[in-house]
Formats: sequence, structure tokens, C-alpha cells
Amino acid sequence: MDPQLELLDLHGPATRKTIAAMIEAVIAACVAVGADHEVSYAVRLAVEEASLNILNHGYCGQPGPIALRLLRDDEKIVVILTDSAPSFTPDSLEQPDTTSDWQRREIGGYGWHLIRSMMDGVQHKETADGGNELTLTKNLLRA
Amino acid sequence: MEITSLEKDGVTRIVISGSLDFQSTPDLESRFASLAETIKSSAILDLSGIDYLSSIGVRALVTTGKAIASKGGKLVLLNPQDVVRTVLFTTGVNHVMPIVFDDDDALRAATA
Repeated sequence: MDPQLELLDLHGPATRKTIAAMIEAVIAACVAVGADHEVSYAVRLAVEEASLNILNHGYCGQPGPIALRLLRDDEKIVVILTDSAPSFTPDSLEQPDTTSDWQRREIGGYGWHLIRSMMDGVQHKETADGGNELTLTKNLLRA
Repeated sequence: MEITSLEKDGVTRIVISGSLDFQSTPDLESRFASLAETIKSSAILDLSGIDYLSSIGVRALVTTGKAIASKGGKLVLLNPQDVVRTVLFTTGVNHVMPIVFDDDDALRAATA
């Protein structure tokens, strides 16, 4: 088997319609490579959360460019999301409140928390044009 | 996204099915908000037919639970599927509303 297989290479303006189409393609690709339900769910969720962050926070709702590559690399699914929004550092994001009661709980910030929890690898780097490249990996085989 | 609700003995039982994602949730939030206004005390939300939940869906559940709690009631989540359950626990929803896996436990939690 080819150790690295490109499953998807998608580009478009970051709109809700584009993101919906990307997610649909990601789900179909996960099925095509035989990913189990837990892996497919995690990859779908990571793409939804990360691409909506790009649209809502990176581009403040404006449709800037977004690109998604999906690879099967050995026994991993690899998602590479690229945008031209101002560079940010995921590590600097605050952890959401997941323990307080109703009165004190701030609702929000769950997206990144879920990505970190459900994916096996999260890497960010600034692109040459000052945008962002986010690489998310999920192991196909359980440890 | 399908949603049905039925009130019995002061507890509203809501059954939803489909995916709670960024496409379905805005519509669901407004339907939940309307439903929360009509709920007299507590509600049991049957999640067994939900196959996908992302952060926007979590936010909708927590917002609805808060609306019901502000009137002195309680929102109880019943029977989430495996990975949906992982999302609920990862985001700490279990700290703000009961998550149960049995009808009798749901009724007990709703009326406690």
C-alpha cells in the first residue's frame, strides 16, 4: 500500500456552504478508507470545529480562502486546513469551563477543547503569507 | 432533524433524532427556546436517536438546560450514543445536568 494517499484536496471561500460540502466529502472519504465510527466522528468533528473557527474568528464571518487536504498516511488520517486569516496560536487559547455549575459557567470555547481531546495530533504553523496551517491527525488503529 | 414532545405527570419528554451540527442547530435552538417556555417543570431529552453532536449542539443543550433551570426545573439527558456521550463528558455537560441511561432513572432525576 502507498504509505501516503491523498483522499481530498478542496479549496474555496470559507462559507457555511463550502464547509458543509467539505464535511460531506470528509465523511465519505473516511467511509471509503474503512475508518470506524469513532474515527469518522472525530475527523468530522475536528473539520467542523476548525473550519467554523476559521470562518467566525479568523475571517470574522467574511468568506476568505480555505483549503482542506485529507490524507491517509500509514495508519493515520491527516487533515490539513489552510487559511489566510491572521496567524494565531492554538496553545494560547484558554481552556473552557467544563466543571462549574449553571450560575458560574461561561458557555463556549468547547470547539478547540473537543479537537484536542478527540484527535491524536494537533499541529499549527504560520504559513509564508502569515496565515495558518493546521494539521490534525487521527490514528486508524487503536493503541 | 426530528423533534417530538409529550407532557406526562408534569414532566415533558422530548425525543430528537439526527445530527446536532452547525447546520441543524440554529433551527433547533429556536425550537428548544420555544419549547423551554412551555415546559412547566422538568424535561427528559431522549438523545438515543442523535448520531452526532458538535460544540454548537453542546451550547444549545446547555442554554436550554439553563432556561429550564431558571424556572426551577431540570433538563435530564437520556441514553446518548457512545461518541455523543464522550462529547458530553468531555465538555463537562455532566456537571450541569444529569445524564442517565434508563427510563426509570430519567424520571427519578427529573422529579428529584
